Parts: sequence; C-alpha cells; structure tokens
Amino acid sequence: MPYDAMTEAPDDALLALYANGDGAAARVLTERLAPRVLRFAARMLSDPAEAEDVTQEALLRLWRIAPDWRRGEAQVSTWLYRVARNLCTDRLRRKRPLGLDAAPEVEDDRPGAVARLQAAERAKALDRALSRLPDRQREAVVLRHIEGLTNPEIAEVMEISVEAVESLTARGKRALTADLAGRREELGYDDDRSI
Amino acid sequence: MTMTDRSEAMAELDSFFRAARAAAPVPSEDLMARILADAATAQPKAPAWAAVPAPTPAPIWAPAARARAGWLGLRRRFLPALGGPGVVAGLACAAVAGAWIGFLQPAPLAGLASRVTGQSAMLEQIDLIPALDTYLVADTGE
Repeated sequence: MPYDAMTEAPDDALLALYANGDGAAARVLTERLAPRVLRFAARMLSDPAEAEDVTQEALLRLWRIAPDWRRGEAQVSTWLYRVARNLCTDRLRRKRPLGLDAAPEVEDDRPGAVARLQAAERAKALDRALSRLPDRQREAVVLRHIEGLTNPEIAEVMEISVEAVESLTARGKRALTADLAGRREELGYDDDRSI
Repeated sequence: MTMTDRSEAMAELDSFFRAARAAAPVPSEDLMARILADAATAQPKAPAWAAVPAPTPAPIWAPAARARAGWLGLRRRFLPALGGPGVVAGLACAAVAGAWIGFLQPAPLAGLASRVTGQSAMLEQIDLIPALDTYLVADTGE
C-alpha cells in the first residue's frame, strides 16, 4: 500500500500490514500513536525521560502483539493507552512505596510571580496542579480533557465503569479548580479573571 | 460558590486545558528512531518460500546451464503455488503410497475389498462394468 494511502488507514489495518511484513505501516503507526502515548505518560510521570521510556516500551508491546491482534475486538489506541497506564503505574509505585495517593505533595519549583499568565504558563501551572492530584483522578482528567477520549473509552483504558470515570473526572476538575484558584496570588495573576 | 461562579471557574479551567493541549510534548527524533528500530526487530519475517525471485536468465551459449536454470525457475514458481516444499513432499508421498497399494494389493487391503464388494476375487478380476461384455459381443456380431 502506498505511504500516502496508509495515512488514512485505520490503526488495526496498519497493524495487520505491519504483521505481514510492511515496514512503512510501522512508521505511520508510530507517527500517529507515539505522540499520544508520550503526552499521556509525560503528564502521568512528570519526567520526560521516563515518559519516553514508557512510550518506547508501550509501542514495543504493540509490535509484539501485532501477529496475534484480532481486528474489531478493541481499538489499538485504547489498548495502547491501557498498556502505557499500567507502565506508568508500575513506575509510580516504585517511586512511591507508601501507596499511590499517600505521597507527599510534589515540591513546587515555580519561578516568581509573572505579570500575566500566558498560555505556556497556564500549561505549566496545570501540569503542576495535575501532578498534585491522586493518580486515578489525574489519569481520568488527562484522558478526558487533554487526550480527548470519550468516557466509555476511558472506562476501557482504566478498567472501571463509566460512572466511576465521570466521578473521577468531576472530582479531579474540582480539585484542579481549587488548586489553581488557591495559587493565583503566587502565580501573580491576581488582577486576572478569577478562576 | 454560586452556579455562575462554578461555570466561570470551569470555563477558566477549560482555558488551562487548551493551553496544556497546545504545549504538549513532541517525540524527539531519537525516540522515533528507537521505536522504529524496535519495530524492525520485532516484525514477523515472511516465510522464505513465499518470495519468488525473478529467474536469472541463462546465457544462450550454455544450454545445460539454461536448462538447469529453467527447471529451477519452474520449481520456484510452482512450489509456493502448491503450498510450499512441505506440501509438495506430502503429495509425493501420497502418490507413491497409492501406486504401491494399487500394484501390490497388500493382504489386509485385499480382504477389506472382498468384504466391501462381496467377491473374493483379486481387484483386477472384479467386473466393474458387466454390461460391457455383452456390448462387445453384440458389436462383433458373435
């Protein structure tokens, strides 16, 4: 199949092509899926190097399962998010032997107040606030509001019910709102619209 | 917090999410290269006999070599079409076994044939088309 035509092909078709020896299919899948896994892992781990390792490992597992992949049973992207989530959880457990949600707050290394909170600063502030959320709330919020997955897809990734996903995202958003509002003075956007 | 305050807060939070989506990390070239190297290593290899290389043309001044190349080319084309060397070997075994049974008529098989046909004669003596004799006799005017 020509490379241009592959960019329109669904993930599972590309995976079948890869399993049949088509190297170009691996490139298209990598370009399509690696950024998504990296974004998710980076926000889960707050460590770029570890996020890259998780991305590489998750894709390696995809390559290995390709010959046995059964089309129509699951979405490739959802399966990959689940693998990445499990890899992130393992790494977080190793970092925090006391338990996922019992960890102390991450030290805030934020620079001093800025005159106006620009988009990049907002992204950083959100990342810091996300890192202070319990892991499951962070996963649900990142998958829903940054990665754009639907609640049923997130339920499949996290292996929980859709209602549990809705509860996690609602609590996560409330906690983020409170966190960001509580730090607006530190962030120096007191004169900005309140959050 | 009133409903209005809550909706304003959520709208503000959405602006943070938009900013986070715009500032997402991008995979480095090194990471992409590592992933593609893994893909190449883990990729299943196609069966060797599935590939059908173009036959090398034999030089016209070497008829023996040309004949050998032609036979090899024919074999390379037909083996995959029949399912590979394993399947061809199985077919050859079945053909030899069939010929052997037909010519030698081993005792166990002859006994089985007697039970099935109700005749004790050997296989070559069984009259499969009895009407043919009558036809031949009539045709020759006897």
